[in-house]
Amino acid sequence: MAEHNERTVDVRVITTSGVYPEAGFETLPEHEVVKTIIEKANKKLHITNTNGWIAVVAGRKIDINRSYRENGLSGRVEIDWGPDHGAGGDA
Amino acid sequence: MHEAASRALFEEEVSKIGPDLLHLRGWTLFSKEFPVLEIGFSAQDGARLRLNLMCDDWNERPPSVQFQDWEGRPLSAIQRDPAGVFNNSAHPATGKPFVCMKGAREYHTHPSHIADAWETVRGTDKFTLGGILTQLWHVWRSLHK
Repeated sequence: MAEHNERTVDVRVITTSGVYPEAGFETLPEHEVVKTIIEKANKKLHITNTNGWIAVVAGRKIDINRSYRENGLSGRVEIDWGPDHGAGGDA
Repeated sequence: MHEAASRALFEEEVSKIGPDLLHLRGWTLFSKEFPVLEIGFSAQDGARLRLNLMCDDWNERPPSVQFQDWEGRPLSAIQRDPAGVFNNSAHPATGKPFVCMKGAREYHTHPSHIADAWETVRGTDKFTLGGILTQLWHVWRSLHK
């Protein structure tokens, strides 16, 4: 929960395994690292192996180890969370 | 795999590809009737691609992926991506362009990759139907913004 007068963002995580939170958005401090809500989403949606996954917001890949502010995010943030493109096989 | 079990798993996974995700990614859901999952990708540059995933025997076997135009006709050619996932050469079994990536039946049955078994990735989060589609979508995004 964000403290009074702290700048906040409204966030949700969207995946092909479902959406977190199930309804609405979580209001979080701007300085919180993105990874925190990603981990909550993984747990809630029973996603266990995210090796090679990326987070995309408005078509731009973001760094989940940085905060919303450091990623230049504000207001409503919808994080598209899923595996990056696969490698071609050179067949 | 028993058809009822295959259908149940298919329907469970497809049910999670919800309206929020479709809207966010600009995907069009053409079919989710077992065993066919058809999704369309649209880009801001006007390009569109429809993918037909034939999921018979899911997930004992990976889906067979066919490139289609927006009306559902098979494509005889596809724009190749930098990673070489969208392979424009004729697959030995289908004679058509194919997805050369783990998670596509045409990859695992191609003579060049026959030793790269589906079983090594089957059932992992990256290789659900949604995971495979997401990987293909990012391939598409590398060509069309």
